[in-house]
Amino acid sequence: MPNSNKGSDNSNAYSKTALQFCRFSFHAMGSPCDIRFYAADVVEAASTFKHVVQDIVELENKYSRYKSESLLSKVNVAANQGASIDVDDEFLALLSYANACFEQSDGLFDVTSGLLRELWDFSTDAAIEIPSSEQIESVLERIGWRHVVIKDHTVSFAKKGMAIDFGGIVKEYAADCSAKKLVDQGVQFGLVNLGGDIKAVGPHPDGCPWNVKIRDPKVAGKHVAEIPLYHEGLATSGDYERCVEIEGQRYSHLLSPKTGWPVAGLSSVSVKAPQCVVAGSAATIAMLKGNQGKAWLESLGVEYHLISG
Amino acid sequence: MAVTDDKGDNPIEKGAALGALMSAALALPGVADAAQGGFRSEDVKLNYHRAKYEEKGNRMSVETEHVTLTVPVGRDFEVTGSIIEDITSGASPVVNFLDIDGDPHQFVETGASIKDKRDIVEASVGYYGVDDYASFKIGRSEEDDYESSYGSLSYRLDINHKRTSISFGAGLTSDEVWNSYNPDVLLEEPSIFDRRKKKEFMVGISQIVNRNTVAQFNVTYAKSEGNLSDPYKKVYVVDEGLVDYRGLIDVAGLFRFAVDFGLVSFLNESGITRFLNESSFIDVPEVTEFLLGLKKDNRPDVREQWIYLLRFSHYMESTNSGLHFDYRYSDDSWGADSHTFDLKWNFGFESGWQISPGLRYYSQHSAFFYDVFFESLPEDEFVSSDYRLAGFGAISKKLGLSKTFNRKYTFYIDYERYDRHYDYELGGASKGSDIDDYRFKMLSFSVDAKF
Repeated sequence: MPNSNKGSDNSNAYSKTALQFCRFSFHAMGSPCDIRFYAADVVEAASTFKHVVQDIVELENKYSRYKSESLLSKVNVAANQGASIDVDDEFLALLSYANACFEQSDGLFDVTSGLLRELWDFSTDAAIEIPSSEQIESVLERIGWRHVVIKDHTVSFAKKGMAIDFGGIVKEYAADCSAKKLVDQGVQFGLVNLGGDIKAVGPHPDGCPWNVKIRDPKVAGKHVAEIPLYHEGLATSGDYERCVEIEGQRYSHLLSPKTGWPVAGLSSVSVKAPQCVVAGSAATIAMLKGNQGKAWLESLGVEYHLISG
Repeated sequence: MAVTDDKGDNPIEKGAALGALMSAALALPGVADAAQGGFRSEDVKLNYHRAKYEEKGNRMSVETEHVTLTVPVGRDFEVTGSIIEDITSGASPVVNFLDIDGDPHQFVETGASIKDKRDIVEASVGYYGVDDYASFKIGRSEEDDYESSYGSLSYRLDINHKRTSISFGAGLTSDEVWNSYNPDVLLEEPSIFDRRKKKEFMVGISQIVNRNTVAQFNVTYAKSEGNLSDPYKKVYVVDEGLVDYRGLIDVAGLFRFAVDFGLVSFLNESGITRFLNESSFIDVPEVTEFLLGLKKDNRPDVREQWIYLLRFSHYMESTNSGLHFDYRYSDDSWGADSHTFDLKWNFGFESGWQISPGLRYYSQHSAFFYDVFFESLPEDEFVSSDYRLAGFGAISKKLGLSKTFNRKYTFYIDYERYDRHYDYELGGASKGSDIDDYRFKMLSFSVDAKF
């Protein structure tokens, strides 16, 4: 009967109550995060949120380079001992995504380039200590996506001393996963924000988009742009305040796997794309391309906002 | 000074790089479905429902059990299967006899109680698209005297950033009906084997008005065709009897006496009823029609209904509660037009508790061929004294309580008290009588589990 059918009775999403705005803030993946969405039932919303955060924590525990127990750390350790380790489909899909990034960036986005951070310490306000060209060379020796060997379900390295780092992919991916989780739990209107990596699940119930503000790095409290999101992802790479000055030239803290040096040209790039992970890697690639970044984003055909160096 | 390596950027075809990144991204397990957008739950859901319905005064009671399993299939589909079993016992009014003053009284043959079992099997498939939902359902219901097969299709399209939904539905029910003739029951007769069909079409729109309010409007058209009469019901027509017994004999009193003092049971149990029913010299229906004026329930073989539903759901932040209001108007070609007002209030509490009081008012006009009894047979010969076609009003008070544990299990207890009065009818002008007034209570218990 049409009127006794669950599907035709489209009140199912609102069967208990009408929608209430819920917002949860937490800390994960080294960043302040928040998840906001509209739910029919506040108690259920809290439970939905708990499930989403559980998944984020699981991703963090699996892919963190800081946790020795993470699958990523185990892969790096095993690969460095000349062994290989079995990984699951998700890990392989992330490697495959890393490969796409590498190819589309002509080698600038390289998940093995994290080792360069050993040379450059941006964490203090003190003047940057510039590593010697020998030091840089020795690290660059151990960098190269091409030396990562993926065979069946195992990963190994063709060179010793290498390491994979999913920075610039995993947090963005986690935002997409969280959005999917929300959808699976019946959420239709919501926004996930993991330290600036954003994915919208759907607009506000009144149809208005989530307006994400991009703040003006030069004037506190001011915004330079407002980007409307319905179902898209938005990610930002670079941080104006974390730029460093070396011999009068401003550099971002992103490091080029080709030169071993920080890149100059742009201080921050925000990209809007259907998925947060795509937005994130596009923003990173644009940063790595420096002065060519704007042209590359144009060729990519995405909406973006950039702040030049 | 080091510079970024910008040499030799290949001229990239616009969008090709994005396509490459996106196709790699869509291969990620956590991304694919979100991009595709379906709202199907990944959970396997099991529901068990048990309810007991009891009419006041030892009339009908129904016990029902219901098991439903819902399983996600593939990326966008959901398959649901249900098994329902009802057991009905007790007795239902057969006819209204008149007493010596001409006042009608129900004849309920409590000496010959019914025990009917109904089994229903249902299966449905749902498809969850990005902005739409489609489902197909088939089912079959079997009783001793009834077989029903049904199917329905429904489609919902979400537009306007999912603020507006448009729904369509179509259903077809095909019934085979006969009465489960029991020769050991007085006034039963081997009468019919027949078919009826019901078609239904629905169009609806649902709109999120603001973040706390949802409004919905549905129109359903239903057309039933075939033998729509009730084979167990009789109608008393004064002119069709041998004599008008009013002022002479208390027929109603006699039959009540026969039931109360076990005469009917004696006739039925001793085989006398069977002997009479199976005897070739005597045709019980003809004799009772000739002597008493008992006619078969006879209804038009087409019934058309237009049903309009208006629904508001409003969430109140101050009390963390949701108020639901439904108004339903049914325009019936039989004249049994009805209004339903349904109010339900859900209060959510900490740790998964919910309390839902509810109030429902139903008002029905009598069908044009209904009367408590008839002085004479109308020209079209359509007659029914089925209390369900009378004019009446009914008030239901409901209370529901539910508790969710670990988000996986939810237990529900629902209680309903129903009170029907012929003079509760809105306007109160149509045919009906206090002899059909009754009350029932219903208690149900359900469990939902997700895996």
